[in-house]
Amino acid sequence: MKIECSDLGKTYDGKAWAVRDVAIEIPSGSVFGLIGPNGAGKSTALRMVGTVMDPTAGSIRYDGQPRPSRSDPATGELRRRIGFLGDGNPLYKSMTPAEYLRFFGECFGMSNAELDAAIERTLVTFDLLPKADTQAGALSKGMRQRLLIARCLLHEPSLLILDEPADGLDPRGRSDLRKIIKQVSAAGVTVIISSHILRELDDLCDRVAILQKGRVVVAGDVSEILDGYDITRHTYQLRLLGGAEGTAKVFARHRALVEASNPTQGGVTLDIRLQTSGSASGSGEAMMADLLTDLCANGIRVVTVSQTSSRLEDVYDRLCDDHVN
Amino acid sequence: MTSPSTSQRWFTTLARGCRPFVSRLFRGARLRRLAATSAIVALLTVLVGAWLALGSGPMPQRSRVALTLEQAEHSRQRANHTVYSHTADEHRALVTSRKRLLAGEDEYYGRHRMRPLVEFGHARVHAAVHRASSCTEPLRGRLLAAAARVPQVDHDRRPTPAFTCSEASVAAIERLVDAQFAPQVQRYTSTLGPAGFAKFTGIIAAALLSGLMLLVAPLWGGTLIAQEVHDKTLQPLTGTALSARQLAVGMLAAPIVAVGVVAAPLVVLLLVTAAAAGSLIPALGALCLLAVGSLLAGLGAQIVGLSLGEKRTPGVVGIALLAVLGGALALGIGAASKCTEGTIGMVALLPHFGIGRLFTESFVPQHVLTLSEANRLDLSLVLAMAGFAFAAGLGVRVVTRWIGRTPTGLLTRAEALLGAATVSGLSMLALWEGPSRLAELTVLSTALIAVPLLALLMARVPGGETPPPLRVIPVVPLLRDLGLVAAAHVMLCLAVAQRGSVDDILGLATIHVIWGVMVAGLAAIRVAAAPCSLGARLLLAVALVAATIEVVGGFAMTHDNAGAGMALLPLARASAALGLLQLVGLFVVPTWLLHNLLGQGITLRRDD
Repeated sequence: MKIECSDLGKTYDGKAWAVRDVAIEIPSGSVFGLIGPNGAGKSTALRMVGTVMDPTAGSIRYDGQPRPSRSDPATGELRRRIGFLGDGNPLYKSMTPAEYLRFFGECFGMSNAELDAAIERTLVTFDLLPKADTQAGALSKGMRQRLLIARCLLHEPSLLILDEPADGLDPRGRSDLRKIIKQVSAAGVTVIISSHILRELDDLCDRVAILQKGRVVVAGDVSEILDGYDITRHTYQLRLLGGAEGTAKVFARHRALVEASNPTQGGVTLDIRLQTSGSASGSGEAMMADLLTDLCANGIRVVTVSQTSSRLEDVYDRLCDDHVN
Repeated sequence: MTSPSTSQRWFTTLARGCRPFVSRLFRGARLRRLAATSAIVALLTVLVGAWLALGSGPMPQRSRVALTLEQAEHSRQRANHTVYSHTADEHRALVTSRKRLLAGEDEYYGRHRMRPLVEFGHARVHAAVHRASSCTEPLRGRLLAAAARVPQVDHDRRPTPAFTCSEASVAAIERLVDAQFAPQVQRYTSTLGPAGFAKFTGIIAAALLSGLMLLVAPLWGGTLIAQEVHDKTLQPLTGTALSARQLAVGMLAAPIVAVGVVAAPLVVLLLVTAAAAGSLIPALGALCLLAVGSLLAGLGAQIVGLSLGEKRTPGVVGIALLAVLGGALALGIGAASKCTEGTIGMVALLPHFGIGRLFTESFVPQHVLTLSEANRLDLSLVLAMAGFAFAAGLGVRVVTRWIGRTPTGLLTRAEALLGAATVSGLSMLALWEGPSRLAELTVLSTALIAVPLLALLMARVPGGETPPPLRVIPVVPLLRDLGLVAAAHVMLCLAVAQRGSVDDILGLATIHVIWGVMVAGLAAIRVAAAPCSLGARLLLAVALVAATIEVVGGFAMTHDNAGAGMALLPLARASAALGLLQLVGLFVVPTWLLHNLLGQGITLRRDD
C-alpha cells in the first residue's frame, strides 16, 4: 500500500501543534522508519496514518484514495488493510495466543474458515505454535511482542504500522523482530516503524523521516539522505594485538580522537572518532582506509575494524537537537 | 440480486460488533458451562417452585402466607374449625387431646390448641343467632334449632365473627353444634394446587430473571469494560475494523447474551406460568421493560467502568457497581411489595419499579386497581419505557464517543437538552399524585433530576483525546443551558402543580436557588474537565454541599412566605458558623472553582 501524507497536522487546542506540515510519501512494499526523540510527534503521526486519530489539517492517501474520517463506515474497510501496533503492549493475560488471535481476527471481520487457516499459519510463522495453549500472561516479553505483531498481521494487511515495537526487548528479541519485519517486507507489505533508537532501524529501512517538534526535518531514501548530508563524524572500533604504543602519532596525523581504550587479552580495543573534512576525498571511509594503511605501515597489528556508529545516527545527531517537545 | 435493506445492514453491523465479544465470553468450555448452569437453574426453579407451592414445611407455608396465596394458619383453623398438625407426634397428641376434650378433660394441648377454637365456635354460633333475623325461613328455623342445642348462648355477648346467612353457613353452624364444638384434627397441607405451583414457579423465574438481567449482566459488562480500560486493552480494539459504536454495542451485548443463555429457560418458564395464571400480557410487558432496563443498567455500568477503570481496579469498580445495582434491585423489589394505587408514579423513577410491579401484577396481584388507575398505570409504564429507551439511546452515544475519544464532548447540545427534557418529564410523571404545592413539587422533582442533569452537563464538556491542559471549555454556554433547563423545569412544575404560582419561587430565594444550581454546575464541569487531586475532590465535595444548602435553603424560603426570603444569609440566623458556611458556599467556593479550572491550564470560552 502506498501512503502519501501532505501537510498533515494535529493540534488539540488550536494553538500548539503536535504534528505539523508533515509531507511524506511511502512507496508500496517499502520499510519506512519514523525517527525522533520522545514527544516528537511520532505516535500522533502513526495514529493518524493508522486511522485511529483524525488529523486537524492535511490529508493522507492510501493507494491514492483519501482517508475517510473515523465516523465514516469506509474506515472499517480501510482498517482491514492496516495492521496497527500502538505504543504500550497490552494483552489479555487470561487468553491463549490462539484465542487472542481469534478474537482480533473476528474484530477484523474474518470468517471462521479464514480464521482457522490464518491462526495456524500465523502461529507457525511467529514460532508460537508450542505456546498456542499457554495463557498470554505466562509468556516471556519477547513472545508477547511476537504475539502482538502476529495479531497485526493475522488479517494479512498491506500496511503494517509499528510504534516503538522494540521497547523493552532483549537483544535476542530485537534480532527476532528485525527478522520478522524483513520477512513481512519481503511479502510486499508496507511497513512503517517508529523508534528513538536508530540502531534498531539500521539496514532495515528503505526510507526514513526524522521528526523534530512535530515537523519533518528530513525525509527520503536512506542512501539519498546520507549522500545529501555532510557527515563529519565517524566512530570505529579497532582491536590491536600487543599494545597501543605508536598509535598516537598515526591518529594525530589522521585527525582521529581516541574516545575509549579497553585492554583485552593480548591486546587493546580502541574506540576512535574521525574528524572528516566534508570533501569527497575526506569522507569517513576513505580516511579510515588511509588510517589503517598508516597503522599497518607503522607495524601496528590490527586484528579487527568495525564501524560502531550507524551512518543514520550520524545524520540524526547532526540534524536534531534531541529536545523533547 | 437486491441490495440489503437498511435494517439488514444495521443488524449485520450489530452482529459484526457483537461477534468477537460474544465468542470471547464463550471461548473454551465456557458456553458448555453456561448451558449447564442454565439447565440447573431452570430445574431448581421448578423444584423450588413445587416445594414452595406444595410443601408443608414452615418456610413454604410462610412464603405462601407472605404472598397472600394462602390464609394464615390461625385464620384457616377458624374458618375450617380444624386444628392442623405439622408432625406425626403432634398429630397423635392432638387426636388424643380431642378425645379428652369431648370427655370433658382438660390438659395442655386441649387448653392451648383446642380451647381457643371451641370458644371461637361458640362466638360463631352467638353471632349467627344475633343475625338470625337476616335469615329467611327455613334457614332461620334451622339456625335457632341448632342454637337451642347449645347449653349456654350468651345473648349479651358482642358478636365478633362475621356471619352471612346462607345454606352453607347455616350447615356449618349445625356441624359445629353436632360436633359439640370439638375441632377436627388434620395434618397440615398446602391449599395450593397446580395453579399455585405455576404462580410460584413464575415468581421465582421472575426474581431470577430480574437479578440476572438487572444485576449480573450490567455488573459483568461494567467490570469487563473497567478491566479493558485498566489494562489498556481497549486502545488496540479501536484500531480494528470495528467502529467505536460496534465496540460499545459489542461490549454491552456480550454479557447480556452470556447471561441470556442462563436466562432463556427462565423466560420460557415465566411465559408458560404467566399464561397458566392468565396474566400473559403483564408478563410480556415486564419482559419488554426488563430488556430496556437491562440495557440502561448495562450502559450505566459501562459508563462507570469507563470513568473509574483507569484509576481503580476492576474489583473496586465491581464492588461499587454491585452496591449501586444491588441497591436499585432491592428498591424495585421493595416497591413491588407495596403495590398500591399511590405508588403508580414510581414506575417512572427506575425500570426496576415497573418490572417489579408488572411481575407482581402477573402472579400475586395485591390491589385491584380501578379502571382509571389501571389506565394511568399503563400510560405511565409506556411513557416511562419510552423515556428509559431514549436514555439508553443517549447512553449508547456516550459510550461510543467515550471509546472513540471524541474531543467535542460525549453529547451534543441538542442531545443533552432532549435528555434533560426526558428526565424532567419522568420526574413529573413520578410525582403526578405527589405534592400539590408548587414549591414542594419543585423541590422534590429538582432533587430527583439533579444528578441526571449534572451528568448530562458533564457529558457536554469537551475531552476525549485532547489532553486536559489543552481543553477549551465553553463554561458560560454550559451554565447558561443549565439555567435554561432549570427554568423550563420550574415552568413544567407550575403547569403540573395544583396550587401556587411562579411568584412562590421568585424573590431573593430565586437568587439562592440559581446560585446553588450554578455552583453545582460549575463543580460538575470541573470534575469533567480535568483530573482532580485529593484536595480538589474535598473542595468539590464542599462545593456540592454548599450548592445543596443554597438550593434547599432557597426552596425553604419559598415555603416561608412571611419575609424570611428577605435574608441574604438565612443560615446565619441559626448560628454564625452556619452563616459562615453559607458565605463560603456563596462566594469562596465558586471563585475557587473558576480559579482551579484556570489553574489546570484550561481555556474558558464564552461562546459555543
